[in-house]
This record gives sequence, structure tokens and C-alpha cells, in this order.
Amino acid sequence: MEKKQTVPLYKKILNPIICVLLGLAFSAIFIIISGFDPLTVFAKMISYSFLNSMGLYGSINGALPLMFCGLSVALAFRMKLNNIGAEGQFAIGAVLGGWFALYGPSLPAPFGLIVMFLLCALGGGLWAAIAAALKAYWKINETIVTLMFNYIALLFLDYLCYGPWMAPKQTTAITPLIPDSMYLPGLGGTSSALILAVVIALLLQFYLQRTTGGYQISVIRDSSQSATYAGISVKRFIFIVFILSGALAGLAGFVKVTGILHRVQAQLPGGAGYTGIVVAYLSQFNPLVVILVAILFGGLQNSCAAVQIMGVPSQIATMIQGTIMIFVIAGEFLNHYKISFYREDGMEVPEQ
Amino acid sequence: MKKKLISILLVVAMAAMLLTGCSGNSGNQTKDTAKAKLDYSNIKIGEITSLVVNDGGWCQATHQSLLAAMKELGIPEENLKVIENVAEDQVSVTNAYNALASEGVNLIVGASAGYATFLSELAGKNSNIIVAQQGDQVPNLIGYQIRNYEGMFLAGYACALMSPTDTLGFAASMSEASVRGAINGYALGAKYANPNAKVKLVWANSWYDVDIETQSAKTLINQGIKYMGMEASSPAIPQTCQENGAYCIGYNVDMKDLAPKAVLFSYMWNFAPIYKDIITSVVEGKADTSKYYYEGGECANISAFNEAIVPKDVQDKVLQVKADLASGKIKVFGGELKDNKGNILVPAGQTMSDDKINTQQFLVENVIGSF
Repeated sequence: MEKKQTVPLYKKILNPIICVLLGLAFSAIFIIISGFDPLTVFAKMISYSFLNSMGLYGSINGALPLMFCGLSVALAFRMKLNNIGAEGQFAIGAVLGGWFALYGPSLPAPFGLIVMFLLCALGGGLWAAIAAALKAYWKINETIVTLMFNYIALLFLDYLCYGPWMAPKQTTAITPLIPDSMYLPGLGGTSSALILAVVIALLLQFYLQRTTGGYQISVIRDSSQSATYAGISVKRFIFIVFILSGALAGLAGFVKVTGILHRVQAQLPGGAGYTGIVVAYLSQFNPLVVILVAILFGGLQNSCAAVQIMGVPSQIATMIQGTIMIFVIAGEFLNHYKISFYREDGMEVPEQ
Repeated sequence: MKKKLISILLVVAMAAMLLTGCSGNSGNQTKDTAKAKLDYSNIKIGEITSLVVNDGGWCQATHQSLLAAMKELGIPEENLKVIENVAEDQVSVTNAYNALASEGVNLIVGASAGYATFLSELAGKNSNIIVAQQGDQVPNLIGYQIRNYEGMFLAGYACALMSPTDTLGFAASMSEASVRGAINGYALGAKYANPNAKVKLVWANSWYDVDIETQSAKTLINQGIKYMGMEASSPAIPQTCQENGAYCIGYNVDMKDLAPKAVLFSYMWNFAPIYKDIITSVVEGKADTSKYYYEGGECANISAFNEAIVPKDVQDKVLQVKADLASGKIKVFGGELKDNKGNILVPAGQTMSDDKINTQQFLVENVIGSF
């Protein structure tokens, strides 16, 4: 197994498309076994999730938190920081912002939203800063820390939603509605959070590609020793990147609460922090591509219902999603690594 | 550079799609089903479940009830569209609702209490679709719930009659009003049989988790508890009881076959009478969305006794209590009733209101535990 040095652009674009098609072909076998026509099923998936306004809005609404979690993970991974904690940062962002929306002073329309935006970012950022400090000062593995902190954050959110924040007369763990003035304006059937996501992705792209900070991040990624030698403070960047990454995940809480749900709920992130990791990988950590891949994922999740209505068992519907994901991830891997065979005498067999 | 250009083009394309979407007919896309005369042969019913319909637990109980009601009314099974594995999350529930609406269903049954908030918000969108859902009372939505505490009262009563010690156990899932109702019903039933009976409570904090539910049962058994009630969906507790010589009351569906040496009988949700009534009202165009079904009796059903382990005299006593509950001779939440923090919930001579029972936020005096 060797890492390829460069991957040509056409391969980067073509590869995921081929892999999606292979994934579909593989799922088709199971669809046929369960007695349905795969082409009809795929056509229904696409037409339901993307080719009509209602489905497209549903896909985008599902994608909004994924976009922010994807951006969060992509930024951290740009510096080879494994931020597995988007789920928890999302939750803490929602806790801090939700607290303000539910119990804070009521401010005139845009200011309330701005304060909440900042608080959600702050919540996620501070939560991630703990992992950053442990990593920067004691070299404690950030993967474990961020993962474990997810449980703490989610349980704290659950405690609030089952306890002091729970709406009166509700049987489930959900808070009352936040005030109208804290709703993000709608955009068709979705939310203007989409514009926010695109703007933030553009800013992130600019930061990573056009600023000194972005350049220094890429130097640290390639070799933190060379970066230190060049006078870049790696510790400082661990903090910057982790806090920004956490803030982005915290903003997922902002869009979910102000743009979609208008309440805070137990288990609010619902796994978006983890799906965000897959979204970031598939986008090759490119912020703008994250937005598109997130929408694809939102649509894929959305299509599950439409496929079931045709009578396809829910297990097969979920399996189609999983298969496409696995094929794309495997394809990504093979895009960057090649498998070489060695003869017993140590000579490499030339590639055909 | 090229890559960037492609990204930008794609984003622009997405934006264009979005804008065309805006000008299109957003919102409902219901087919005009209301105009055609609705009868039992053409009514379309949608069901949204949180797990699969043969999960051996809650979803299965709901689904079987719905099928039973449809069968009684002569509605063909293919008129039921089911969407399974729908998370208790706004986007997922909206998506399932829209998918069913675009199929032209007349009635949507939400089979999880966790959908209440979202389906209540969606129900108003579409006057052609009646939503049946446990929870809020809003236009187009008929609420329903079963007085599960009645069946659980029988469960606690039977366990306390049979237990050699005063301490019983209860393995609960998530802290939700109807679950607390089950715990309290069980504890009050136990107290009715034995005034000294206490119920130790353990939580799984999950609706379905084989490992944690196994641990719950083991925790209780390790404390010397022989008889327990449960409000948990997997087969783990009955099986753990059987392995360790303990006994339990099955839940959701008849669990006797899963653990024939441990399950005394099972508490079974029976929504069929409620669904039958709701479907009839929809077909006749008389759906009364101000109505809230809160049914006990046959709806809070128990299975046949496990003859091999439940003595005949216990069976007779349980059936007598069942009759007394139905006749109103026994009032489960009748005074004087205290919670386990010493507060008086209901003064002597009074009974708790349905509203308070249905949203209960307390554990009764003889429950050892908190929520």
C-alpha cells in the first residue's frame, strides 16, 4: 500500500461519480432480490429528494446542520486535527444559544439573532478549546477527548430538556418555542441559514487559501516540525483551529434552533456531528464542496421515506444509503493509495 | 482554479434550483382525495413508526392494533402505507408526513409520543388529512392515549402477591409521562396487594437497548429482587430473568414464548378500539379533532396467564381487581396519594384529574428512585 503523491483533477471529480454509480449497481442486486425494479426506485429517490420543491427543501433542511458540522470537521482536518467532537460542540452551542433565546432578555429583531449567533459559536468554540488545551499543553490525543466530550455535552443537553427547560404539558423532552423574533427568515420552504452556510463556506475558503493564517495551517499539516522551525507557533494554531472548528459546529446548533426547529430538544444533533465527518472527507475538506455534499446527504436521508412508500422494506432503503457511502469512501481511499504487488524476491511487479 | 470554477458553478446551479422551487407550488401537494367519496375500500392510511413494525415491542403493538382495526372495518391491507425508522426529529417527521401526503392518505397515525410536537405543527397544514397522534390538541389532530397504569396496576398487584419479599423491581426506559404512569401504576398495584411493598426503579435511558436492559434486570436481581415489572421494548429483561430464576411481567406484546419460565403474563397495548373509532369517523367525514381518547379497560390489556407459573388463586385475584378497575371500584390515582418526596398529591376522598394523570411528573410514595 503506497500513498500516491498527486491525484489528477479529472480523477478527483470522476472518481466519486463512478463510485456512486457502483454503489447504486450494488444496491440494485438487493432491490431486485426484494422484488422491485431498481431503476424505478432510484428514479423515485432522485425525483422525490431533488426534483420537486417540497423534496428539495426537505433535503436542504436536513442538510443545514450537516453543512456546519462538515465545515467544522473539514477545517480541523486541514491541520490534521481529528475533531470528532462536532456532535458535542453542536449541543453546547445549542445550549448556550438556546438559553439566551428562551430565557435571555428580548432584544429588537436582528440583535437578538446576532447575540444568539455569537453565543452558539462561543459555546461550541469554548467546548472545543478544552480539547485544544489538552492537546497543546499535554499532547493528549484529541480524538479521544473530543469523542468523550460528546457524551458529556449530549447528556447535559438531555438533562436540560428533560428537566428545567421542558415545555409544560409536553410528554417528550423538548422546550417551548423560542420567541418569533428569534426565527431566521425563511427562504422558500427552507431557511436563510442556507445563505449563511454558503457565506461562511466562502469565508473559510478565502481564509484557508488566501491568508497567511491559512498558509501556516497548511505548513503545520505537512510537517509541524518544519512549521516550528519556520517560527510558526503550532500551539497557537491548535487553539485557533480548534476554537474556529468548534464555533462552526456550535453554529449548527444556531441554524437548527433558529432556522428549523424553533425549540431545543434532547438529542438535538441527532448524529449530524458524525455524519459531518463523512461529509468533510467526501468533500476532500473543501468548504464549498461540503455544502453540496451535505445537500446530497440530506437528500439521501430524505429519500428513505419515498422509497418505503413504494413498498421497499425500510432496511433496504437504509442499506442503499449505506452502500453509496461505503463505495464513495472506498473509492476515495483508492484514489489516494495504490495497491502494489511484490514478488517474493522483492521486485515490484510493474503495474499493467 | 478549474476546481473552484466547478464548485462555483454547482453552487449557482443549486441556487437556481432553489429559486425555481420558490416560485413553484410550495407546501402541500396533496392529491384531490377529499372530493372522491370516501369509503372503507378506498380510505388510505399512513403510519409513521420509530423502529420497524415487527420490532417485538411498541411499534409491533401499534401496527398490529392498526391492522386489527382495519380488518374489522374491511379495509384492505394494501391501503396502509408505512414509513419505518423515522427519527423523532423535525426534519425526518416532516419528510415522512410530506411523503404520505403526496400519496394522498386521509389519515396519518403517528406511532411514537416523540412525534407529538412535530405532527401537531404539521397537522394544520393540510385539512384533508387527519392525524392521530398521542399528544397535543390542535386542529386536524385527534389525540389518544391508553391508561396504561390500569394494566400496570394488575402487573404490580400480581408481582406483590407472588413475591416472597416486600421489594419488587421495575425496569423503565425513558422518563416520559406515560412511562412514569406505568411505574406509578405498578407501584400502586403492588401496594394494593401488600401495604409494605416497595418498588426499586432502574432506568435504561433508551427506548430500546438490549445491553442496558440486560444490565437493568441484573442490577435488580443482584439486589435480591425476584419479581419485576418492565416498560422496556427488547426481550432482554424476560430472558435475563429466566436465566437467573427471576420473574417479570412482559410488555408491549405477549412475551411468554420468549421466556416461558419467567413471564407471568404480559401487559399489551391494544389501540384497536381507538383506531377503529377514529377510522370510522374519518370515513364518515365526522372526524372530531377536539376529541381526546384516553381509554383503559380492554385497551390497557393483559395477555393470558402463564398457567405453568401463575397459581390459580393469583389469577382469580388479578381478574377480580381487573373487574374492580373497570367498574370504578378501585381508583388507581385516588387519595390519599403521596409522592416519594413526602408531598401530598391527592387529598383523601379525591381523585386526580385525567389531565394531571396524563402528564404526570411524580413518582408515588413506595417507588425507590427518581426521574
